[in-house]
Amino acid sequence: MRISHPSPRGTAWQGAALATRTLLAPLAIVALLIALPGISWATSVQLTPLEDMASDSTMIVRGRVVGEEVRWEDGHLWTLRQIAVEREYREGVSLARVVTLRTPGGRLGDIATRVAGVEQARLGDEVVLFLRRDVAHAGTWRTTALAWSLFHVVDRPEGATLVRSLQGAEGWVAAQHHLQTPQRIAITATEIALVDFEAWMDALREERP
Amino acid sequence: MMNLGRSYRDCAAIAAALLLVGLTASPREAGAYARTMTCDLADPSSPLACKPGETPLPIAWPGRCVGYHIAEAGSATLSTEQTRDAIHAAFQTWEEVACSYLSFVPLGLTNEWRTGYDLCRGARNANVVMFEDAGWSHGPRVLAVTFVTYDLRNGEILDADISVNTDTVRFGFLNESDGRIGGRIERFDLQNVLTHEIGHLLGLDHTEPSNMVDGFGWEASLTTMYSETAPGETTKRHLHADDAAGICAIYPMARADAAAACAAQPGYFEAPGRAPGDRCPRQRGCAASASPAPGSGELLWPVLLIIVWSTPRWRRLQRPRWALRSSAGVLLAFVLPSHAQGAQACPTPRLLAHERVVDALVVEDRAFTLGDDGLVVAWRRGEVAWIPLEVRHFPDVEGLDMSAEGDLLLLSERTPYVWGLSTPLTDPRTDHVDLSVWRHPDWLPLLAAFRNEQGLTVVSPRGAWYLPAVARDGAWRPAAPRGRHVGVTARGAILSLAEDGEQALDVWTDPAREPPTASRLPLAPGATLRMDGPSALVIERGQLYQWQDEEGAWLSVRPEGWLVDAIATESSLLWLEAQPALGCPHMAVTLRERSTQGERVLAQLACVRDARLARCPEHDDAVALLTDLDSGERRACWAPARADWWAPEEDIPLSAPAPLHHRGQEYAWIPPAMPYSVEVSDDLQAPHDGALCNPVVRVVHEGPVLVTQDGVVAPGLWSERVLLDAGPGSPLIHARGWRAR
Repeated sequence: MRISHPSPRGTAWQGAALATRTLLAPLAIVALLIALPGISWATSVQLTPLEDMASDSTMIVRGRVVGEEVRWEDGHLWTLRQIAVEREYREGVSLARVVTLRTPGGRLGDIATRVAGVEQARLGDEVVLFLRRDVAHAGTWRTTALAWSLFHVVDRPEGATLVRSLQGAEGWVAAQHHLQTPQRIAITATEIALVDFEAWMDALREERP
Repeated sequence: MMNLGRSYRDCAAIAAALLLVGLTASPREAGAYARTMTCDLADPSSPLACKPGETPLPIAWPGRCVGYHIAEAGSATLSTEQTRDAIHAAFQTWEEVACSYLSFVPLGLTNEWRTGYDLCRGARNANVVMFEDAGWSHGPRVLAVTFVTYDLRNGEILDADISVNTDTVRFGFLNESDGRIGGRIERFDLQNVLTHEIGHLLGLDHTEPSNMVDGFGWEASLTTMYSETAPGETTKRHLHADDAAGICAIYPMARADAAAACAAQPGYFEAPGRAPGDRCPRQRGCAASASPAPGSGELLWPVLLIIVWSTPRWRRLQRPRWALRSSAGVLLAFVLPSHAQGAQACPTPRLLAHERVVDALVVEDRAFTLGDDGLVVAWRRGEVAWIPLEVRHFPDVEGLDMSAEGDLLLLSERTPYVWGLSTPLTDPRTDHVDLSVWRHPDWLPLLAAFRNEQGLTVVSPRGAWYLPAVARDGAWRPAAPRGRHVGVTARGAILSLAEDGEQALDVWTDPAREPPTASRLPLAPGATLRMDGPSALVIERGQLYQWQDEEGAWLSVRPEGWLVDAIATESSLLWLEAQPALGCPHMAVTLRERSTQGERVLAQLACVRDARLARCPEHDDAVALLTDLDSGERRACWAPARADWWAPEEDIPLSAPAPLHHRGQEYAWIPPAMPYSVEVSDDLQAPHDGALCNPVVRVVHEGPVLVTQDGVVAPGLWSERVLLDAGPGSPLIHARGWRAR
């Protein structure tokens, strides 16, 4: 069964343009990652390659933050955000749904809990998320690699762009398979054109057995 | 590559020398370290964003002595002795900074297996270093996380726990002789990681390279508090000058109490309420196991109202009129176990009326419970506990339900009761519940009851009767012609097949009229009726009709394609349309939804053999889309109010719409999907009064909310129905609640 849904950006996915993007998007992303070191010094992270993050993820979605709450559960403060999903990339389907993103930390009354490296988003933000099911809290999702798994969709003159803001992000994320050629990439943010990202996702999906 | 750690150390030494040169050459302070602040001023998207007028403060431990415990379970993947050595060494690294007064006290082992801060324990929270060999939920490539809980008013750290991912990450210990980590180059050095995490525990954030001395920004990567690591790295075992500057800024030796001795005594920390190795399945807010911190000023106020009446005596005395006069407190015991003062008040009401609660309903501030002793108890929500209002004994009742208009229905296979509540359920002015009980021999099985100011309507497959409010002498009269009743809507409208030879469906909506009148819908051949939702649907090939209780009329929908199936939820109407598709031997199907928001396409299926809609068993107002039933069934559930699709875990029973065109057929009543138990916190059972135990403290959604199976609060229109199951040991077991409309 293939379920499709009209997309406002659907024209970019069709025909020869799609084929071109499918081929070029991985190259563009690799080029982007190689080109970015040296841009500036700011919060620096070792990127988990997107291919790894994709393979680690149960679901990759683009959506909008439509709700947020903070709870005290099991001795922890949690921030729960409802994401109204517009597109699911892993399966390539368009099913309207709302997923709940669970993020450790938050503030409650006079008490706060801070946890290293967590993702941040505001109500109304459009985001792309790499997600895994939260096995400890049925029905909710966690990002695959904390803040590294959340991109904001930003409208730019050249088109919608995914921006991964790691300013102030904390945490330890490592790509173990990069041991042989450790890649240390200092960037303020990772930016990928949305159409390139989506074409790349299409390509990844088609490569899957 | 195997000497990665060594190369880092070499780099660190060179960099430190360069930093010193830089410091000497520049008048600026090399302050790349960052202190964790109580709130984020710059980033309003942060969960910890400062509120208007709030000033961020740096966080720090209030005293000079910081104790820590080590989870005795350790990790099966690591040597216990080496693990503990690595932990102590990592703490020691920070303690050895000469310009800081901070001291660490290794307090021993603990059976605590969770990170987090227990509000009710206060000072008895332990700072724990623990290892998660299974169930790591923070991401497979995240090595460790540190939870730092602090007081927003002054920045004092209350508790900090470090959890290490030994589930998906391989750790080891540096072998000084060959520079390898446990003989393997792909492992992460545990001490390296812990030294970094302890920096967070102390109030340090990640190093900000942009704050390094001009030209030395790259050197930030050599600090312990740098956010990046790699397998084999051991650089962070040793503090960089910038890390030392950071810790000394927080805990400067110049402080008055810097020389005070640490009085904390090592000792095993046993997590309250748990035996070693005992994994508590869940704890909600301030659970009954919580005990106040010694000397914290909290009070334990157990209040026990003694059981006055025993069940046998109650059974002997129970009579309708007597029951009406019974008052609060009879037959029931209450415990208010931990009503404490101040911000850590943890009211946890317990309901001890029944040995076992069979069923329960919560309606606004009223609750009704049915015990396996046959007692039905009405409750009012009090300040800290539920207060009993009324108790009745109904030996045959097997469950509770509520009519759309707020009457309590006592469900029974043997005795048809309707228990009416004449007092508005939401009226806070009275504790009195006026009860009326009606019964009728022909009500078996009782399909539905509906009561308003004019009277009471009851329906069974065998007939429908109406009792006007002014005639409570038992003068029942037919609410619809005796005969083929095929359904009852949520508002009590009775559907029955025409008996006058015409192929039509009558809806009897106004039982007060005599004789009763009906709205008639002619039926086309092949028409079917769906009554497994809140409204009645008649499905024909080219037309869909939905009965509108409010308007007392049929809503007609004419699909563009061939109407395959339809179903209604409380908030929307969904249907499947089929059309031929190019290149597809079967059909293309579109799922459409019509609601107050308008009409929209929910999904398009390019080529499927068949498609059906059903009630999704995982949610009582969700719809399941099933396709290719005979060749690899595909299923997806859709909840309109949540706008959420998910893959159902349970089998979905298909209830075929009842055909309406075959005369003489027995029409089976398809009962509404029964609500199933869900788990949410106990906060819905007690008022909060600002207590921190309330697990749902901030809901940003506008409008009503839905508490779903996993306790998630989602925006939606289903606030009328809140499902509760507080879990083992909690006050109410398996309670369903409705909010009044």
